[in-house]
Amino acid sequence: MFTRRVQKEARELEQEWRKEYSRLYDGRECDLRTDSGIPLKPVYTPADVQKSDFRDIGMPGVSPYTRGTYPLLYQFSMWTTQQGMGYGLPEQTRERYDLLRQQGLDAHEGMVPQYFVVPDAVVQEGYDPDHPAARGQVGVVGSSWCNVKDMEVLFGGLPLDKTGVVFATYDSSLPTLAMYVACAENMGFYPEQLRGHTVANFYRQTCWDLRSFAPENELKVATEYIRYCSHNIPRWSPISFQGYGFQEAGATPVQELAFMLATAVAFTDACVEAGLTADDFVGRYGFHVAIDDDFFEAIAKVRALRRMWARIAAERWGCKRPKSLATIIQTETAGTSLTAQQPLNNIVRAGIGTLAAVLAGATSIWTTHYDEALSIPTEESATLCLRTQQVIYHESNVAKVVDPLGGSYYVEWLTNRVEEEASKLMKRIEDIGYLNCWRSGWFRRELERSSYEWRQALEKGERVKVGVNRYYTEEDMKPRLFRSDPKAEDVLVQRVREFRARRDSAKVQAALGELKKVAMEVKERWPKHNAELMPAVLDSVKANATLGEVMGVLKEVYGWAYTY
Amino acid sequence: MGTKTQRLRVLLCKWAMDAHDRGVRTVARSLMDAGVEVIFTRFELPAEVVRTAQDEDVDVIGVSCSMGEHRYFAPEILRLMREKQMAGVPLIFGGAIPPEDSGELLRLGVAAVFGPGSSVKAVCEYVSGLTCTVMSREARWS
Repeated sequence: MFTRRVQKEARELEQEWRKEYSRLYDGRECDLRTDSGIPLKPVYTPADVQKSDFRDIGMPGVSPYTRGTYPLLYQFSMWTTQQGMGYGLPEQTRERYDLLRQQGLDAHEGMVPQYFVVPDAVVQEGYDPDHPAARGQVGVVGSSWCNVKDMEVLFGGLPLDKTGVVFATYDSSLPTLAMYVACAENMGFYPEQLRGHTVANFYRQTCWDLRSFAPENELKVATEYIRYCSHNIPRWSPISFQGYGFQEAGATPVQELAFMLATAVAFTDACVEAGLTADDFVGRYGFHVAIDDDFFEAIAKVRALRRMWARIAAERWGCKRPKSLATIIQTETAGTSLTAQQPLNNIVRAGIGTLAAVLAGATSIWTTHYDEALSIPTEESATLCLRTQQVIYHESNVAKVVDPLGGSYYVEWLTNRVEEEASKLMKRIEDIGYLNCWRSGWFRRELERSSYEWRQALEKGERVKVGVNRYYTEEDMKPRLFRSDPKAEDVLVQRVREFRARRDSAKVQAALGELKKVAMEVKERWPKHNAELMPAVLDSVKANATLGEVMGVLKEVYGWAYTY
Repeated sequence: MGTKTQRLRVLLCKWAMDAHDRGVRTVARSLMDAGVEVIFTRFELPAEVVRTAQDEDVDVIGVSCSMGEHRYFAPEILRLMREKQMAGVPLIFGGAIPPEDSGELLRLGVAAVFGPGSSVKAVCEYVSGLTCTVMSREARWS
C-alpha cells in the first residue's frame, strides 16, 4: 500500500522510537493481546500493512467490501435499529413495539419500522402453550404464538409491505413464517411484498445444547426453507448466521468469525447440492455479529467478515451479483459483557459497543439493555437503548464519514490478522468436515474451552471486569425489574383450546398427513426429492394446524434430540 | 459406611428449553476439577429432576435457570422432593435469578441461591462444604 521508501522510513522511525521507549522504561516489554489472543505491539506503522494491496481495502460498496456493504452508509439515513423483544400475550408484545415507535424507532427519513419479535422458549421448542412441559413458561421470556390468529394480533393493521418483521425463531421458523405469510394474505398482501428476516438458527447445536433435528436433516430442512423464501418471498432474508450464538457460548472474536462463516459455507453448499443457484439467494443472508468487549477487534472482525465473504461467494460458488458478495451485517452488543453488579455500568458498555458497531459499518444495531443480566428489560431500559443509538447518530458526528477507521495502520493490520486466523480455523473445520465438527461435539469443546479460560481469567482477576473483580461495592443499586404478566399463560392455554375446538379437525388431519408424506420424501430422497416442504407447512397452517402440531410432524420425521 | 470418604455426587440440571448453559457447564467443570462427581442432564418436567436425583443417588441437586423458570420449578421440585422423602437432599439454584426472588426461594426451602454475579469459586466452596453435613446415603434411604 505504501512505497518502499515509506516502508523503509517507517521501519527506521519505529526502531528509533523503540530505543527511546526502552530507555525510558528500563527495557520493559509490553505484553499485549487482543481477546482472541493475537499478540499486539504498542504502536503500528505503514510497515505493518506493507503486504496489503490498497484494493483489498478499496472503497465502500465495492468488492471486497472491507470498508462497507454500501457505497454510502449512514449519510442519508440512520442504521436500522433492531431491538429484539417480546413477552406475554401477542397484544402485549405489539403494545411495547407501538410504544417504541412513538419514541422514534423509525422516525428518521427512509427508515422502515422493525418489529423484531423474540418468541418464548415454548415456541422455540415447537410446543403449543397447553403442552405439559410449557407450564410456568408461556410468554415469560418472549412472545407466544401458535396459530394464524396470533399473527393477526401481532401485526394486524400494519402496512406489511412497509414494515420489517423479524422472527428470532429456530426450527419453528417454518410454521412461524408460514403463519405470517398466511396472515399477510388474509390482510390483503402478496408474499412477494413481505420484508424482514428469520434468524432460522438451524445449527444451534453447534453452540448450545438445545434439541434439534438430526444434523444432516437440519441441512435438508434448511435447503427447503431457503428454496421457498428465495422463490416466493424474495425480499425476505431466510437465514441469519449467528456469530452471536457462538460468542455468547464462549467464542473469541476469531472463533466467532470462523464458525459463523463455516456455517454459512456448509448451508450454502447444501443448497447448491439441492439444485439452487447461490447467486439467487446468498444476497439475502444476514450475519448476526456480536460486538464484544475488545473494541478494535470487534471492528476488525466485521471488516474481515465482509472481505472474506465477498471472496468465498465469488470463488466457491462463482457468485457474480454485487448483492451476493456484500454482507448484511446485523450487530448486537454482547450480552456476556453485561454484569449483574452495578447494572448502570452496562449502559456505558452497551454505548461503547454501539459505537464500535457504527464504526464497523453495521447495517443494523441491537443495543443490549442494562438490566438484561437481571430480567426482561423494562420499558425505560428499552427506550434508553434507542436513545443511545440516537445520541451517537445525531450528536457525535461519527456517522458522517464511511469507515472512518479505514487506513488506520492498526485497524488494517488487525483486520488482516483476524482474517488470517479465522481462515486457518475455517480450513481446520473443512478438513474435519462441518457435520463431523457438529456431531462429534468439536464445536462445543472448542467453545467450552474458551469460555472456561475467560471465566478463569475473571476469577483470577487477570481480566478486569469493573464492579465484579475490581471496584466492587457492597451495596448494589437495585433497578426496578420487569415482570411478565403471570396471567398470560392461562389466557393463552384457554385460547389455543378454543382455537382447536372451533376448527375442522378432518381438514387439519388431512393437511398434517400430507405434510408428513412430503417431509418423508425430502428426508429419504434429498437432494433428488420430488416435493417441497414449505408449501406443505403453509397448507397445514392455513388448515388451522397449530405450531405444535406442525413441529410434531417434523420432529417425528427428522428426529428431535441433543447432539453433543 | 461413613460418608466422609465417599465422593460427593451432584446432579446439575437445566430445563430443556433454556439454552443458556454456559454458566452451568463452567460450574460442572469446576466442580469436577474440585473432585466432585457431576451428573449433568436436561429435563422438561420437575418430576424428571426428582427421579434422576433418586436414580443417581445424589447428595445435592443444582438447578440452573436463566429465563425465569425458577419461579415455577422451585416450588414444584420441592413439593415432589417432600413427597418422595428427599427433604435431606439440599436443592440449590443458580443463574439469572433476580435478587428479590432469592429470598422467596430460600423461604420455600431452597438451600442456597447463586444469582447473577456469583463466582464459580463460591459455588464450589459451598458444594464442597456440604461433604460434612449430608447424611450417609444409607441413612437417607433407610
